Amino acid sequence: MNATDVSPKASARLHRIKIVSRIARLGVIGFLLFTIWFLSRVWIFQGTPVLFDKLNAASAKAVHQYPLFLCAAILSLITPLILCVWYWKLAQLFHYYERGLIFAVKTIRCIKFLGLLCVINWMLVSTIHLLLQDQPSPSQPMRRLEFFSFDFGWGVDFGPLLIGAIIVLIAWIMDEGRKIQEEQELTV
Amino acid sequence: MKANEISTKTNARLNRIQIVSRIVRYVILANIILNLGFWLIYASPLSGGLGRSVWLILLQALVCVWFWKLAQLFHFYERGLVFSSETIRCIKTLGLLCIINWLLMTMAGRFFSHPLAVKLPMVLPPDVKVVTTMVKAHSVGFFSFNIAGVNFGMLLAGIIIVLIAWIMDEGRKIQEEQELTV
Repeated sequence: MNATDVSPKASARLHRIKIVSRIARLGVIGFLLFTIWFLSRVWIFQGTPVLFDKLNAASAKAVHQYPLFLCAAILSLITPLILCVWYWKLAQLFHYYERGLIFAVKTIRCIKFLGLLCVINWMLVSTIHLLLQDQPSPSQPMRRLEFFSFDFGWGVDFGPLLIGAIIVLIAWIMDEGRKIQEEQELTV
Repeated sequence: MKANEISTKTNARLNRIQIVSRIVRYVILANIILNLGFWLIYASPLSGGLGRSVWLILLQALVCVWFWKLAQLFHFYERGLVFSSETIRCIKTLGLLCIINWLLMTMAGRFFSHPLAVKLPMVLPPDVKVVTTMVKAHSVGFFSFNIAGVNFGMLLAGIIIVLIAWIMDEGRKIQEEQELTV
């Protein structure tokens, strides 16, 4: 295959990648803005989060539960922030693709970070749930068997942990593969 | 850097990839068996009408296929196929299965009141009471984008996976074409 034949093909592919990545990035930024708007609306216009209501209810019932609910309430403020950061990193990933960095270090590191954020979010959500374990959780059925959802009746969903771990592992394997390719290119 | 040093490093990396991928593959396969067992015991798939049973079996089969493909993906990694067409195709299939699952779950949600609800025992202990609550109409979370009672999270995740797989495939083809350049 001649260089002149290959180069236009590669250029066409890169151009397609650029367009699709840009659309995806704008879509993800749109989701991020929607999430921020939605959360702001819930918190500002519809009153305090449910946990703060429970905080007030708990303080009336049992004073010793107040610190637990306070911790849970603070953690529940952090989880939406992590979600926003996750969307931001995803947009950044598509930005790297747009620049043509498909198997680069930055791209793989971004994927790894997305996986780690999933794991961190799982840890926070599980902690919140464990802190509130005496309280009924209406939106969490006892057992769920769905995609990305593994609730074995303890009230803790292991699905996001599994997903985060898989993303981190795949990113690590891709990184090792990239280093192998680089080392093979250096071989004389 | 000497060629034999690079070769040793490469072998060490391939070895690490092989070990980690094998462990993960076994964990995923064990998870399939655990998931099936759990589902058979607690989901009562054959009760609640033919329609509900068919949906439950279909959804569970989809979950099993998804994990099977994930195990296959790590099998490709174990064989050293990190950026190959088979690997990328596998990732694309995983994304498509997420989208198909979203379609089935959304349809199940429309046709059945609680398609995946676990049946409680008929006789409850005296100190236990059933509390019926309303499902939130709108919510956002990780892999969860609930608008008007429909969760678009799985659809979003599936589309993202398919997109990333497509981009990786295009990148792979660019690399192959550049290698062919004289």
